[in-house]
Amino acid sequence: MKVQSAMFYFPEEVIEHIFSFLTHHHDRNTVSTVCKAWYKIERLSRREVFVGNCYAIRPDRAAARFPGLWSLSLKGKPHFADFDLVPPDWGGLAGPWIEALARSCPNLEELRMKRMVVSDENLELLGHAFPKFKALVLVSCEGFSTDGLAAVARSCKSLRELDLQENEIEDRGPRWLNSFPDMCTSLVSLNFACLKGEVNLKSLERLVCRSPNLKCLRLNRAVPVETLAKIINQCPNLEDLGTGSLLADQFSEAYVSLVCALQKCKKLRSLSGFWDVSPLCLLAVYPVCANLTGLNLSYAPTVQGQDFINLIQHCVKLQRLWVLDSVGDKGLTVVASACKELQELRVFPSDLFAAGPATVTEEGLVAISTGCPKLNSLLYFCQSMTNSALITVSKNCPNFTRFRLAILEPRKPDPATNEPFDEGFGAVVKNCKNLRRFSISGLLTDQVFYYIGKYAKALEMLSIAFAGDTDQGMTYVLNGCKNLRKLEIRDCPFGDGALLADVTKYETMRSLWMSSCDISLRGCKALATKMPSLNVEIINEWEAEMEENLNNGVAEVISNNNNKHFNNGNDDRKVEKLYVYRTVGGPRSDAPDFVWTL
Amino acid sequence: MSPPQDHHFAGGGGGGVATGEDLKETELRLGLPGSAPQEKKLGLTLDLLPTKGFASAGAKRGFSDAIDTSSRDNGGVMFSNAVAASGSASKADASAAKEKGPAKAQVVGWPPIRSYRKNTMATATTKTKDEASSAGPEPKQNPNSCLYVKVSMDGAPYLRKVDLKLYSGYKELSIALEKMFSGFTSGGGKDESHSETRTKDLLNKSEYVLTYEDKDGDWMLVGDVPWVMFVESCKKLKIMKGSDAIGLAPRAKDQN
Repeated sequence: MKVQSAMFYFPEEVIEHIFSFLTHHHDRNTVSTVCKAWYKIERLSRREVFVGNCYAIRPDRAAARFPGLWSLSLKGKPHFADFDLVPPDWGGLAGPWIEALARSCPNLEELRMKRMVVSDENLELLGHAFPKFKALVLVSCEGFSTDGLAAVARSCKSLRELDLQENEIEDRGPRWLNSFPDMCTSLVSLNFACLKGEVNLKSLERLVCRSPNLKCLRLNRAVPVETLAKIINQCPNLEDLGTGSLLADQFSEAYVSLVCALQKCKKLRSLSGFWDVSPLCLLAVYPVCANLTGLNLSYAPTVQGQDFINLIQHCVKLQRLWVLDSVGDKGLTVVASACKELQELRVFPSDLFAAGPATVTEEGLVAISTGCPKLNSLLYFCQSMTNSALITVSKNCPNFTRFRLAILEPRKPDPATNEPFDEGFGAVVKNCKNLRRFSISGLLTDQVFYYIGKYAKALEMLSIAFAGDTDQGMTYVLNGCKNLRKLEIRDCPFGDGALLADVTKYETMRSLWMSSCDISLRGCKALATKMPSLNVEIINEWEAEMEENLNNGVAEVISNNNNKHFNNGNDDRKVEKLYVYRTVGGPRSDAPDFVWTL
Repeated sequence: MSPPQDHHFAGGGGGGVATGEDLKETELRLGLPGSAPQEKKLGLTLDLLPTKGFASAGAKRGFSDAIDTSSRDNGGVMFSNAVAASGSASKADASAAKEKGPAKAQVVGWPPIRSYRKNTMATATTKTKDEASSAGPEPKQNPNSCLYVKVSMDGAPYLRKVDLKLYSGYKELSIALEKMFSGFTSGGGKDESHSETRTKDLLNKSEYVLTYEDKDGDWMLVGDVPWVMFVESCKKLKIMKGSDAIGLAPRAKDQN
């Protein structure tokens, strides 16, 4: 009794102070569920909010719950939208969020969005509604143009960070760079590498000149070597540089000044870009290699063979490396001997259309795992892999937290034994106890899912394609992976039995995606009925095509009974694409005609 | 309108239904009239499209035929109005792939690469292959696909390259060169819109003369021979100051 009354009078300020040590949103979510008092204290003091699915909660409600929020991170479309499996106009609109924040959270300083649709009007509003706005990070977004960027540049007086990663941005000319006001001197990080168009070089140089705090600068392909050299001369303290076009002729003045400028960059830790790089310009980079922790050559198909080997041998402190498979197993072997600190490796395919001579195989991966025991994050596209290699890799590198292997040909067996890859991937989950993210490929039976369910206890995200035999496969995963948050499946023979095996499981997860599987409308309806807290969305491909053709002006509206043919009584029809997610927001109000929420 | 298949919700997916290539003809679909034949061509054109040096089209295993519908953003004339067709085509083929194995599958979204990367790599590969082929001290001519030649201008700090095959005549070439070198005319390129007209004026007033080096190593005035002959024999371009070009021709280069 005494303890209880002592707790009752515990000052809020002290609790709030204790909460300030909890930075991760998982922890903050947890303490907010303890009691009403803690819920209230927590929500008023939360500064950073992370919403992994923008439809899990209505924007107004989120903004009202956290009036003091400074930083919001939002994710929109399902992950498989990256690979064109989600039709355009599906949703993921940033507008309602920015409007809600404008009404309730005037202190907003940072907005991070991934796979969302942002319009120029949204960006205009952003510029005007938040006087303290400092950082905008957009990853894989679309729907806006350089006019929107101009609006942000113009209006955000204390902008520190503008980070555009792999967005589809409509180019309306280079003038947006002029929109940074002359008094804007606060820039710390500017990344416009994904812009396709020309850039006003003089404006860029002037902007850099008046940004003494600039630490990260990533240019786009339109910036020539001459400008790059001038820029680097202005900020020798750069820590992260994305080059523009690295094409320069021998002994040209531009090349010489680049060499001199780079030599002054003692703090440079991360390099990317390398557009159109000539072997000569690679030489210019050598002086900074010894201190590099991050190197991204994944847009530089000409860096291969001996050029790559010569370069990478200098990069002894490298922790993060992104390359194309054109470096070959040989290149990876050199990485393994030179880069002992390597933690993250991504090897992308350089030629998607030709199955030419094998570029990287299991040999390269085994070499890396042998030479780089600190490796914990892998994305590897290859033409050939074996079970024994995977087993070796998993033993050499037990610290994997992210392991994504894409064998380019679906359902390909182990060429050495003609067996499926169950044992290889099974070894990964057995030996790597901290595995949080897993993507598997090649020929796989239900057995691999048995292993995943049994051993992958820390697993949070699983991506499956062209794998499995029966419903049992998916069931193993749903039953065994206690921490599963995201499950995405395509082209697997899982049906209603698997879908309905453990319906309450989906409430513990962020989302489930299933496409080209064996589920029926009946099964989806059953799921929706049993679990009202989930949105069970079906994407009707035929409807999506019609919408697209209407938008393109190709077809006239023939029928406006949009969902009529969905519901013609035949529930045995297969569902092509299913997206299920937990939500407190109810069915979404912005669903296009081709999305049917059951 | 009824959905394409009786007991398929939309297109492929699921086992047991033979949506083989032969059934595609009977599918009800939206699209332009004549988009069906385009769809058939899709398999062929894909092999030829992206890799200029790719020797044997078609009969490779695996992803020789992998496409993605992100090309709707990309342009590639073959794709842009066959989106509906390609959508159903890839589904039909994907389910055909389940039966036959992946040898000729056109699989949407596989390998799992972001559209942004695919689009960027498509242009990166094309451009750098051309650069690589012209990287030596003499620009090599690649007769199949493009013809990059170096363009130098007196007083400019670095050279540029142009693909002569992109232009259909002298006028287009000169306009392109004007744009490219507008930054280097006297007075600098501070304001692009001004210097563009200025360059044009300069070229017309013969302060600068466009010349080229032909196969024999001689420096010639651009414009004397038919365009096609010029393209075949041109190895390098040079924008000379009028005063340097006296030996070549007494008259100004007539751009019209």
